[in-house]
Order: sequence, then structure tokens, then C-alpha cells
Amino acid sequence: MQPLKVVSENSTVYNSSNNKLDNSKMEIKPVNPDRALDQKLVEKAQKGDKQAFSLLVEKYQLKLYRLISRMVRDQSEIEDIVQDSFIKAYRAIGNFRGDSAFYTWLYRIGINTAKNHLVSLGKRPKAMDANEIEEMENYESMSELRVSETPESTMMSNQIADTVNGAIQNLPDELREAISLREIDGLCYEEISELMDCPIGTVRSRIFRARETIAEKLKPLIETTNKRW
Amino acid sequence: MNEKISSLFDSEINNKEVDTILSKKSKMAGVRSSMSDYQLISDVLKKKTILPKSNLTDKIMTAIDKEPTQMGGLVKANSSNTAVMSFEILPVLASLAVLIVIASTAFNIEVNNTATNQFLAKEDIPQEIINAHHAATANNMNYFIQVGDSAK
Repeated sequence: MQPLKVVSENSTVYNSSNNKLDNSKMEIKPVNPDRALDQKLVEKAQKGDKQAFSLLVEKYQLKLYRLISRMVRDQSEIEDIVQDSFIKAYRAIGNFRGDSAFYTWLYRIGINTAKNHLVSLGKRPKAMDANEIEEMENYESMSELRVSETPESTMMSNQIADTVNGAIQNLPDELREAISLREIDGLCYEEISELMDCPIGTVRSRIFRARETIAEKLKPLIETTNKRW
Repeated sequence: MNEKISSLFDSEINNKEVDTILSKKSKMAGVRSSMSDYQLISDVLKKKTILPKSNLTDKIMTAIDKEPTQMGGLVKANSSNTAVMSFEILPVLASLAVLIVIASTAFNIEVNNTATNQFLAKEDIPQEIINAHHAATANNMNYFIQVGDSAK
């Protein structure tokens, strides 16, 4: 395996083998691909394509769930708030002009919906300062879910984690490396193709095959957990 | 197709491929299911708290299917929901309301100048006083010209 290169936000490449910045590899991406895709889906939703909006729902429902779980503990209430937030977002999608990222806009709707929900229950929503709002908008940093866990849910979480980690270990080297660089190191396909010295199409294929192999191992477990969770 | 979904999950997909995925509407449930699986794998690898695979997206989309379809800022009403008005119309209505207020105000001024004032003048005020008042007072247009001049 080649030495791991970590790409910072401004796309400066750090080479861990010699602890030096590799300026020759520096490049600035003009458009955030995540935001560009969201904008494309939003534009389609604005033109009446509900399936495009469903992809935005799939993409952000879990992140919104995590966000709301910081304000509300009850799982069914969280689900209701997430659902209401998406409905409000859909009703207002015609007014979304792309001045901010879609998720920033959605998260503000989510926070307001959660606050209104708490007020309707006679609870005072916690006042948040600018730092907290910024932290909440930064969905990637939110890994914790603040809902009460049961022994059973903890056990199932552990089983899923063990299955995924076991499946990763059994993957062929090139698949394991590709998905690790993507998911753990957060590299884009182009950066992975440079690191692995292969075409982007090959990276794409390797990541897909890795995911499919892991998903196949997970399938029986997911079916069981859906019945019990 | 599945490889495209994996790329879609990573936002590493071009517009044409997005169109291809969205064009296969009958397969969208499968697309969302695959993305949900990939999200679960991603959460484990990033050591995030794992959530069970839920049908929340299905619930949300069932609710959204009952909503009127958005059409470029306008709203196309569903048969079940006809009392819908787009917010895009509000600026037009606001402009119309302003025009009505201006027209109404102008009309009132005219009425005051003609009917009401003349009625009062005829009934209560001697004509010579009215003539003197008119001679000493600018009409509306003159008033604004005077104000404009004094502003300079």
C-alpha cells in the first residue's frame, strides 16, 4: 500500500512518508461536488420531479435525525419533526435559490421545526449561540446520536459494526484500500485514483464492489434488526 | 445502474447519470434502499452511532406525494388539494394592492377637493373668505413644486 496522503480542506496534499507538503499536487476544486449534486436535485424538484427530492430526503434524513436528537430525546417525536421539516422544505423548495447549501437551508428548517415543537409542548427550547448553530450545521462532525439506547439496540449496533468490520477485513486489498480512502480518509475519486495509480473508473468500480460485498453480508442482519428494532 | 448509485452516494456523478437514475422511476425504491445500506456501512466505518435501517424516507415521501407538485416556483395542485397559491404570486398581489391604495387616495383627494369642500363652503363659509383662501393657498401641484424648490 502506498503512503497515505491526507487532503485538507484547501486541497493541500500532505505526504505522510516524508512529512512534507506536496505542492505539485495542489489543486483547488471550483465546485463542491456535494453541493453541485444537491443543486441539480433541487432544480429537478423545483420542476416537479418528486423522485429527485426523494434522493435529497434519503441523503439527509439521517443527518437531520442526528441534529434533532440533540434537541429532542423521544424517537417518535424526532421522526415526526424530521418528517415535518422535509414537508416544509418541499413546500418552500420553489423559493430556494441556492445562496446557501441545501443542507444548511434544510437544517435551519429542522431547528425551527424542533423549536416550535418544543414550544407547543410547553417546553422552552434551549437558546443556541452562533458557535452551536455552526456546529449543528456542520453535519459531518456529528457522530453522536443523543437518544436513549436500549441493551437490545446496543447489542444490534455492535453486531452490525462487527459484521461490517469483518467484511472489510476479508475484502481483497484493492477494494479495502479504495473504500477506506473514501469513507475513512474522505478522499474524492480523483485523489484516490492518483494514490492507487489507476483510472477513476476503476476507483468507482472498486468502491462499488466493496460496498456490495459488505451489504451482502449485512443483508440477513438488517432483515432481522428491522423486525426487532 | 448499481455502480451509478454508489457514485451518487459519493456525489461523484455527472448530470447525465443523475438523469438516468431519475428516469427509472420504478426502480427508485431500490435506489433509496441501496443508498440506505451504503449509509449504514459509512456510519460504521466513520464510527458514528448506528441507526437501524428505517422506513422514514418512505413515510416522508408518502406525505410529500400528497403535497401539490412544485412546478418552477408555481404549484401544480393535486386533485386532492386544490386550494393552493404559490408565494410567487404575492409580489404581484402586493403591487396590485399598492396601486389600489394610490388610486383610492387620489380619488379621495379629488372628492375632498370637489364635493365635500364645496359642500362645506356653500353651506357654512362666505364666498369671499373662500376666494381669499384659494388665492393665498397653493393647489396640490404648486405645493409640491414649492417643497421641491425649497429643498434645493
